Amino acid sequence: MIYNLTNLEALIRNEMDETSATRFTPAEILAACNDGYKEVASRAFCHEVVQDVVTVPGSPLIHWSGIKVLYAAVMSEDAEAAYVDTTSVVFTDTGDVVWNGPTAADWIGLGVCRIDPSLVGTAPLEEDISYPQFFFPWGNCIYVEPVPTVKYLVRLFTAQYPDTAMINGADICEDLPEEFRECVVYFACYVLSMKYRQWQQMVFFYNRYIELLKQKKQKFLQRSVDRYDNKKLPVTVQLEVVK
Amino acid sequence: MAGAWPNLDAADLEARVRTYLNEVGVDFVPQSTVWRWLTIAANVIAEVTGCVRRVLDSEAIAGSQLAPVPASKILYVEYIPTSGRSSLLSPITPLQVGHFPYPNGVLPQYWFEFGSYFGIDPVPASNHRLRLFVSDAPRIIVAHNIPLDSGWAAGTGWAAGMPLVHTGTPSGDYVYSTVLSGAIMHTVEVTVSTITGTLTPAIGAQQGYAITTAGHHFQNIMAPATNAYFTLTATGSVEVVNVSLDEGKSFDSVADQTELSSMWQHLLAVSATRYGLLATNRLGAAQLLEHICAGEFAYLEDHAISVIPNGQDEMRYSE
Repeated sequence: MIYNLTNLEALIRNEMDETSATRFTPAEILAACNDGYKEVASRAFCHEVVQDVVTVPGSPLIHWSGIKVLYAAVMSEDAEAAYVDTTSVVFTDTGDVVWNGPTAADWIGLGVCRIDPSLVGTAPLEEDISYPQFFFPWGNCIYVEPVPTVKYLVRLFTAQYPDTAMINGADICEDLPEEFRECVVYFACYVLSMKYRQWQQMVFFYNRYIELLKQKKQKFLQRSVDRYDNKKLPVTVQLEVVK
Repeated sequence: MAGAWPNLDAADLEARVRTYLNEVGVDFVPQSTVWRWLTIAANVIAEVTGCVRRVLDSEAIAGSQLAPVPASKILYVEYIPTSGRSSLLSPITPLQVGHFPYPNGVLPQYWFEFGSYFGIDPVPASNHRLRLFVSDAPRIIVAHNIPLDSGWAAGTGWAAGMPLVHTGTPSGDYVYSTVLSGAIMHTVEVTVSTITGTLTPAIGAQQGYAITTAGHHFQNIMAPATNAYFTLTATGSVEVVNVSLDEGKSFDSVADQTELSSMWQHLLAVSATRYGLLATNRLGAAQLLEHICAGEFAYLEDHAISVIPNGQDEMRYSE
């Protein structure tokens, strides 16, 4: 793997014009790489993780941790009965199968709209529906409207920090999509440039890191939906009749 | 790494500052100075970006227009009726008090912040539960998910365990055996799974607001100078599943862990490095780092902290 820790160190030393460990210790480079690993994940929101959480009846707040909630969807009612494992039944989600409840009636499966907090109490709610219809994140909580009266399973589409640090030479930034791993090199070069007061070099590496991050975020993470205009064929050429 | 991944504790942050200042040993800058820079940097990040956001329990007291602001800044105030849908109060200025219509009669409808108080309009005729959406100063984590089955002294009605249960009408205290730092603000998080009575958190003689509903509850409580023991006082049936404590102190120990999310923590080290450069008169370099930090603060505030509502276009189906 090109972006394993051993190669990252070699790439960084190359960029910093240091063929052997004279100025930067392996420990310093390791710290810079792990910091870069987290920084790239937290700036690009590229470690996308689906988390299932359950509402507390009578409370609009759901506890959550991570970088950012990108989307939310209410999945099913009576989440406890549907999802909590017993000694005889273990509900294990796989890539293809997600447990949504014992009966079809429990299934909701609806995207929840993010609103400005000032709309709490005034956002138009669907009548006779008690499941969360709106949400907004606040600190380490998600606030949902209306206040749920039973337990609902809410699926959060989140950006998360990487799960584990890199420690050994063969470790890679596995929680970053492959195309984002290059950014870690330039982040590490930027922070290490400070040590020997190479300020011009620091600015160059920082700008390179940000530029790459922008490009990759736009290219790989921007979501688009299919619209009518996308399906139009080019207009045939018509000659206007000049009168 | 001394902090638990992905977090950096005071030792991790100090190591980075010393690397960036090229002072691996303690030659010119004592540890206490680095900790001071880190503390200032953490506060600056929270002040500039408003990134420490909490939802605090509060209460409007009958006959009292003003209540203390328990955080840096209140952004929204939610009125929680005893039944029916909660609503956000409208912000006004003190000049506008009494001039606006009251479609909901004597219930709280407007609020304003002034000095260390916030005011409710109209003046409440009875006590009302409120929820404050605030930005706050960063704390140092004391302990999260504190074990509830040991390390506490159980009073009347309490049965230690996970979850922690109180039963019976008589009031009883459940006291955390570790004394907290005195005379500083603490943030307390209590998660209640079921409740038919009341649960009141307190530090020493300083009481928080009574909790009467299930869910996550956050309160800022100023610890008294002495006897700063954290106590849960309950009446009736209460089941507690989680307690976490943070304190508003400066960095003063290598294991100190800021509550600032990991995305801000490396910026703490960069900001502290800037203070180090200023201290040695490297003003140009300090200015470069200041520019970098300012750009990062603005980006993270816009993209990770601010609530950007979904637009109508995002929900519209297009054939």
